[in-house]
Amino acid sequence: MQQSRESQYLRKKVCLLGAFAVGKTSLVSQFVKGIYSDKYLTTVGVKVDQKSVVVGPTEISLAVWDLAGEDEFQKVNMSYMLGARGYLLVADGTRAETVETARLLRERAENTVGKIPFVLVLNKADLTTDWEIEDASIADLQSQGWSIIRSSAKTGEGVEDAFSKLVQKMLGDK
Amino acid sequence: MSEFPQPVIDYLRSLELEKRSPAWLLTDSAGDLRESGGDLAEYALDKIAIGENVAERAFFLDGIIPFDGGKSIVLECVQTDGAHPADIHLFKLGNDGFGIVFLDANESQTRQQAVQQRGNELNLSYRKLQKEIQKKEVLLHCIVHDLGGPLMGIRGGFELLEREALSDEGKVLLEIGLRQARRQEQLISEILQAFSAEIASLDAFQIDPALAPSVITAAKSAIELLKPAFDLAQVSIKLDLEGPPPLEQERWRVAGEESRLQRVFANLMENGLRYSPAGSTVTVKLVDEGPSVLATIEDQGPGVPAEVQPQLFQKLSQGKRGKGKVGLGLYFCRITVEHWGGEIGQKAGTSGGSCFWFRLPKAA
Repeated sequence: MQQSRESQYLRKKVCLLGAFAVGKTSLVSQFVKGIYSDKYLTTVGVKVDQKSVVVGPTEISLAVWDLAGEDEFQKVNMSYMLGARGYLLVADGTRAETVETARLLRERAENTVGKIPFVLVLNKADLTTDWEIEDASIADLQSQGWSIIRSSAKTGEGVEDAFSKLVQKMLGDK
Repeated sequence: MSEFPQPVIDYLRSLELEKRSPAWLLTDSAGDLRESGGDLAEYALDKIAIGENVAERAFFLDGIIPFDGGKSIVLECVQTDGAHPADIHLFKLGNDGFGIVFLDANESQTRQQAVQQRGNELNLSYRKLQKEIQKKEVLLHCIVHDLGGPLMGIRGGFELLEREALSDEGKVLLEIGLRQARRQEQLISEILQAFSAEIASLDAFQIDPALAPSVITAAKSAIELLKPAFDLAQVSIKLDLEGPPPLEQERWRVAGEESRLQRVFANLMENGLRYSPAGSTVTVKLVDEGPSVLATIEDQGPGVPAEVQPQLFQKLSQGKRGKGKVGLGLYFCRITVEHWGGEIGQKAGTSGGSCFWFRLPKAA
């Protein structure tokens, strides 16, 4: 972008992908506005927000695309991913099958936009008694080079970390 | 595409203009605005001046304009703060620019939202319910397992007492206690087996011909096990074969596991015994069908009432028939046989009683 070239101000598009009701919208809401609501409201299409983050000397304006979740009836439209520089794969730690959905979405994202940085976010970490994802599964994904962060959109735990990790990867600072 | 007559074009145009508040941007190949029009304010696009880069002024277009690839892209229901949800259509203007059309997606968004919301909520509720049921089954399993411990002690105590010199009345009372303890142990065993079979059914199953049980041996073992109970009830039990002689064991080997197959036979024979009048016969018949073996267990009792039949092999269904069982025996048979790739059912017997049957594939 012309403006980006002339200043230290970078703009990056990031997307959130995942099964339905894993908490993508809540993560964005917590990240952008610091707000959390218990009420589940399904996303139709995509919601686009923006937030500036500072990494070292660089200020980055993130355009955060919160895509409608994948469910039995509708697949995620990968056209929304065009122009994305990175993405968060979001899974619900209390529903183990959402990790499998995340795996499949990663493959489709890669087919659309190629290999770009991503971070797997295991959300709802506050619901410890219902947690279904085993440490072995996490270790297996990590051994494949996946960056994984546990988060809770409710308490805010891990939310900033997830976006920061993604931005660091996008800037090439692993 | 066929030519549209002008009235159709006019109608479609008026429909879109009236209902969908179109707005449009035309850019050069770098994405700088050449001209624009329509309801730009509805999409927060009215502040972009001619010559400005649209992707820099409308952050949600960043990374998309300019775009490569096909002729056009449609991004449905894009929602941003302070703007109407919009279906965004991006298309190329030959080689020197792009067109971007915004159409109001409010109506479709509201409609889709309602349907998806309901669908997703139901999906989540169903899953939650399944999880609750699983938790309760595990709890039930633990409780039943714990009940079995002291019962073993009670039965052992009774069995030791049998060796003592008791009065005739004492012997009768002891026999009652012993019988009840054994019955309760049997009940607990059924519950635990049903539970473990359910868990096992989640595992992959492979037929190993070397370990495959003979259906004749399993049937005979079950008959031997239940013979005293049949004698006590004055009911006969017999085994008929239709196929190769018993010595040709290989031809009677079926998919499964020996002790569980014996348990399936025993459950079905016990079931037949339970409804058999004194003096009648329960007939166990094994038929070599070539690729499979059919086993039938037929009694001369009153038969299974029509209203009970649909639930016969469901969990906890048999208790309704008033014979003091919890209804896990037939359930265990079904999940076990199905797990081995077989099938199971019930039909009317030739003499008016019930005829339970199951079919298992041969091991080789």
